[in-house]
Amino acid sequence: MKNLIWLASYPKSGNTWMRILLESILLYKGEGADINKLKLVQPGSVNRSEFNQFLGFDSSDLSLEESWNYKRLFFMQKWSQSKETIFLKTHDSNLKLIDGTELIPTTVTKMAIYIVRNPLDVVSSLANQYDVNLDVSIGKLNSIGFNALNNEEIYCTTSVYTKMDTWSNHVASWLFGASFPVHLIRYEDLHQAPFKTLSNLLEAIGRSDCIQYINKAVENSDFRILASIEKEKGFSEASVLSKQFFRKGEVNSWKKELNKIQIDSVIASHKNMMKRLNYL
Amino acid sequence: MNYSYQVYGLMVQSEFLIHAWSPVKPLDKLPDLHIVVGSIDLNGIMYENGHSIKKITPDGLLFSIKDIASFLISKKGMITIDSFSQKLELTESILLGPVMTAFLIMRGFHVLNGVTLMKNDRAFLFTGISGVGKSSIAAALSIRGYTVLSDQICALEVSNDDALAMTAKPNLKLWKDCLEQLNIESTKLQKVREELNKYYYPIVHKEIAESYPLDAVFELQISPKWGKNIATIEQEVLQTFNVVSQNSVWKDLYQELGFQSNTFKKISMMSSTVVCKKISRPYALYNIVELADFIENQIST
Repeated sequence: MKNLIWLASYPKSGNTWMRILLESILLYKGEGADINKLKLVQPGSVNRSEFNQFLGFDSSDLSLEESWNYKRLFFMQKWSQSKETIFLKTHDSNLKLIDGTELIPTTVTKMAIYIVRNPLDVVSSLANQYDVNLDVSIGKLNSIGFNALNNEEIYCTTSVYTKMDTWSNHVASWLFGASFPVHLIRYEDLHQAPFKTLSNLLEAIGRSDCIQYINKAVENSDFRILASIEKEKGFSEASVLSKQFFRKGEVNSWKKELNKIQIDSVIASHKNMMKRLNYL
Repeated sequence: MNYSYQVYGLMVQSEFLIHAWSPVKPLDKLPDLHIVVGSIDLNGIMYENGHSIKKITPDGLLFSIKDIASFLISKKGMITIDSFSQKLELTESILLGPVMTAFLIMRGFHVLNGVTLMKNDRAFLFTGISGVGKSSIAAALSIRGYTVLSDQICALEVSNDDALAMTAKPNLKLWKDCLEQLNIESTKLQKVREELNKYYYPIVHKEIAESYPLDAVFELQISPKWGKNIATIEQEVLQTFNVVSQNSVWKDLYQELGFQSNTFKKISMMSSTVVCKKISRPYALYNIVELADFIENQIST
């Protein structure tokens, strides 16, 4: 059954915000969702113990390529019997595997919602997430070895390795490399025209019946509200390294935060993709 | 060529080189376990989940992972390996994990996941989910004079009085970041696989006994909500039962072999005789040496 809807993005591109909005719209008629008990969108990261159980042996001796092949099989097996629509969050790049297949299996995937954000704005947000300076953050954005952890050398943890790849490769893998429908959302459009952007999304996922809840959900999921909840109650998904997960969420904050050399470095590495997405 | 090992109280003779076990001099008696390389007929047998087979046959337990290897585990003391690929490191990993687990269960042992250490003739098991850092802790404590009895799996001989942890004299498999934290030079170590920054860390095994009484079980876990501190919680008997049960390996096999009621008794017995503590470590960037200090302190108390 093709029942999976992936909520995919490069890190710090608005995935969590989108999860909160969707939860508010689809589950609570626009009322604010509890950010510490999000349940609509499940994590797409793979728990290593569950993965080992599925494999029948310890996965920690697998090479990265072997892990991805088995991860694809795991997704296929785990979700093949689901009868309802399942939303899964992922930061994985939709890698092309050695046999030519994609990491995200088409046999169980209905579609993906891909959220993209101007890489110039991702830089400072990513720096906050990993508690690194802006130059290191730019290095991550440009690194094919970038993974879900702070140290690129560490890939055996309690979750199976998530490969982000460079920002451009990540975007390309989902927008131009997927064999299933992908609905693109620009983070900037979500900010500037939330009703239109979310209406289109609800239509794409077949939930136009919930369009009436959009405005209320947007109001209740404002970044200032989320930041204040985080300050008061904490956010269970926040990185131990970051001071605050929900910061400003502003568009074009890079103009104040990056210097010319840093801006040029990001553009030089991602020019083509930035142009395709109207960031240049 | 045959290699000899003495593990889990068994004399093992193997046609298959096992890097994670320390070899011993050739045996002068018949082995308890003979590991041979041969062909296994899979005709007519379907892979479950698209990639594995677990099936009890008249010849023994058949275990196969597609594209890697098949194993036939006979209760009579023979494991046949049919490796399909050049990835012998993976074949070894599977042999020492699920395959040895199955063999040990067939021989009446109770098997838990984790690494076992010994000091002053007392054995300590470190268990917990995969990737939580059990081998790293074992390496840190081995530098402080603890003996590593077994890695990956812990075979226990459980009686009415105690649970004996069997010795396997393993070499640990450690990631480069762990070696760096422990100031161990990796350049001279053998890689587990060329593609991985993971190395065999040879352990020097002094003369040690075949088994030691299990004194305590430590379940390592990650602090919830990205906590930054190391903490411990002592477990009551019922909680200990849950920890032992949850970390028992290949639980459905006991049932398939008809050992279910006996297994319940064994876990109950262990729960009432061993001390059990849960130890939480920070989610990321934790300091192995600091955690080892904390655990040593727990052991001494």
